[in-house]
Amino acid sequence: MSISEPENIKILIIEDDPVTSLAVTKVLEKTGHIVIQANNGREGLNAYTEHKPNLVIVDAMMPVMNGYDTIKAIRNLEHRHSLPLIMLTALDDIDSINKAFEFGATDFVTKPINWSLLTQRIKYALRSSQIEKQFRKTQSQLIYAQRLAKLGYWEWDAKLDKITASQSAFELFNVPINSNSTLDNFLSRVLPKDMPLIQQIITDARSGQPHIQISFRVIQQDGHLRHIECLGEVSFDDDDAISKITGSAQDISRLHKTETLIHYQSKHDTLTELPNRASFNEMLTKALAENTNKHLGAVLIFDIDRFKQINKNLGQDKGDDVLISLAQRLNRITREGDFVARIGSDEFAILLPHIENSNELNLIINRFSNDLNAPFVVNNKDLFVSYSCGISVFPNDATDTETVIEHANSARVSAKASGGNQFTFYRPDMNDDALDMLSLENDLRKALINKEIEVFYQPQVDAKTLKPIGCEALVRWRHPTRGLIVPNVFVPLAESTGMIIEIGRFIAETAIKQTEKWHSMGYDQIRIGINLSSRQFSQSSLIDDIQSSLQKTNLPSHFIDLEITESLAMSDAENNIEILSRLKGLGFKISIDDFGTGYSSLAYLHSFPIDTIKIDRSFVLNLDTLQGEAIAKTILAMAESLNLEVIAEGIELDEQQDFFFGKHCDIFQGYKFGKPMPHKEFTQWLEQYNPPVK
Amino acid sequence: MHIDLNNLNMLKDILGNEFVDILNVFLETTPDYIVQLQEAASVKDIDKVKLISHSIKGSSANIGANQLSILGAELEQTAKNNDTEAFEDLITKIVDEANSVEADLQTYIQTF
Repeated sequence: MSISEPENIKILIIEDDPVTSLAVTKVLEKTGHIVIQANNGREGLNAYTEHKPNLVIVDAMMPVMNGYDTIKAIRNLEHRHSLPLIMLTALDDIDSINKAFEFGATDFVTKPINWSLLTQRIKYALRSSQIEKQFRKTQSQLIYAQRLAKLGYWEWDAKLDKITASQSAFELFNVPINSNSTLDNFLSRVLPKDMPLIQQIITDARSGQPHIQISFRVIQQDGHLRHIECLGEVSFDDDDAISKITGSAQDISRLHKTETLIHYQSKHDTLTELPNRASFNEMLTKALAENTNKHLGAVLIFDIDRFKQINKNLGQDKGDDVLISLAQRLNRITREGDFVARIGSDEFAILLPHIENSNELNLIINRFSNDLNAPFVVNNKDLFVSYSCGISVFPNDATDTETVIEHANSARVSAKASGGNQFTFYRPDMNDDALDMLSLENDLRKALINKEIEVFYQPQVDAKTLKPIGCEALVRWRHPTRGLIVPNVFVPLAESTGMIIEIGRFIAETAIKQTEKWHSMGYDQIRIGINLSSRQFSQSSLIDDIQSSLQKTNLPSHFIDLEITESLAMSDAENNIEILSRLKGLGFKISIDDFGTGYSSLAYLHSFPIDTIKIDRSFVLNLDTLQGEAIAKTILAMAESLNLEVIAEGIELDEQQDFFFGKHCDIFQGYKFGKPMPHKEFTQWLEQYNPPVK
Repeated sequence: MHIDLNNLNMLKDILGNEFVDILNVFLETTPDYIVQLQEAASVKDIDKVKLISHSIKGSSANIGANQLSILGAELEQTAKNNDTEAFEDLITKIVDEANSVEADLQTYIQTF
């Protein structure tokens, strides 16, 4: 791996004191770097933008803009999070060091500056960022660079046998943070086999060797080994005895891993640099063979929902970027000892060889789910992605490689069939389910022709007067032998086979026609909510379809409320905003359905041309908890500030209605007012619930 | 000697003759700092006192003027504690120490 020569490296020093600034500049120029000087934070920011340096050194305390704010501002400017940022700070000020890391610094140097250590530190920081840059290519990967470059700081007072160290140093050495730690305490988790190395270094120091450079291994909480490298400077007293040793410690495990990886290039996927399917199988086989005490382990296999669509919308290059970022995210969120592989185009596998119990597995899965759902940055915009993940647990589900993978895969297929965006555990009956799905799929193909698809209508009332104001059209499948089938069983099936396009068209046409009928009966303020699915949304004919359904009637378009789910809206925000704007231009109303359940981004919500949000029933259900109440209030306040209409779904109880009454909520929907019902019953409901004045 | 040669020599080892430039900058800026410090103290501009004493602390530490650096740190702490009463006494000490450091540095530069 080639490291850039110093002469190509630009370093920006932001320091108000001319003496320090000049000294740093001269020392770094002497080692061949190009140095740019700035006198304060603001100048530093400008210089950063202008020169794009490879490394920045910032003084903590400066007029105009202090070092912390400067670091933060630079971090905000550079999207890749790869830039080494070194903070100059007062000696022994652990608080300011921790603060520097919090604000995004990767390292610190104390004043008075130890000049030979400074050049070493800079070489280190550049090396870390360089290796990371070559080994990984996108911003999410480089978050790790920060962590890698983050050094621990320690000082051993040899007279008092006392260790002073930064929090990160205690973490690196896997010992509790303790202001009265002795050297023995501090080194208590070092691998016993490596202790002689350290003893040798101390002996060398005692005989006058002033510099320390050593790497050794530390046993971590989970039993794995962490490779640590320490650099240090020895101070001597007048009798030439050691008075103290000051130094840094760095986790270089990833470097070790990198080197190992190179040996196994053949077993790795070239795009993401993750291991490929063959090495995954090999690792799993090994883990299963080594699992003699029958402890728990798991295999997760997942793919990205609608990845083809992402590739189509953003282009293959950006699609590849997403895969690379995802791969790095996986590396970051898995634990030491876990194994991640890319086993297909957008298909990934994770091996968790050792889990304490099912509770731990659940925690890990929750964490994965949270981390994976965070958006990716593509073209400077957030891209929200969801996953279908299948999980197979060993030795419970199976004990051989092939079957474990097969089980995880059928769980993945099942997750996908249930609409995606979920983690599903393997169950033995999944194969039966799959067969069952297949027969259902065949039936669904004939359902429209056989007129088995029906539209039901669920009442909506005005939140102030409680008078009927509209309804939401909901699809039902009246299966000849299975009876009424609810949408969450067959809609995912219809989505995956593409039948949803025709079904969606049928629902829209039927619901619009029916609403016109109600208008002609005198209920001329009735609005109709119609759900749009993601598949319809990616169909170019969507706008034409809706428009042509409407043109067969005399119904004004503003009575039609097109509902899309939050996760759908966010899935390809830019494209969706355009489609929605065109629909809105035609006079349709736009709602965000299930609001609050997806990755809500206020900034985005604001840029969507929407009229209404529908508060998801799960929040209404939780109103009796403090947290549920707080969420509902937040959503209402947000809607009010964005001037959006609000529909509360799932109202069943008086208390729930009372909560929303008098707040920024316009429409109620729920069993309290009426279930979804066929159009005839809905007409009766209209008549009985509140007969129109003739 | 009002300067610690250990740190200075390390810098000298790396920089060679250019090292004198840094000392010259120190010799130019320190009187500036002291003037600004006296002005700030006379109008009780605590923030300014804090900032300049901090700069003195850092710049003198970097050229090995340890006693001056300690005085800078003391003044910085005094400013943080809003103890304006103590300014005058400390600034007088800083002026004296800066003069001694300057004299030592001039002598040291001659040795090049």
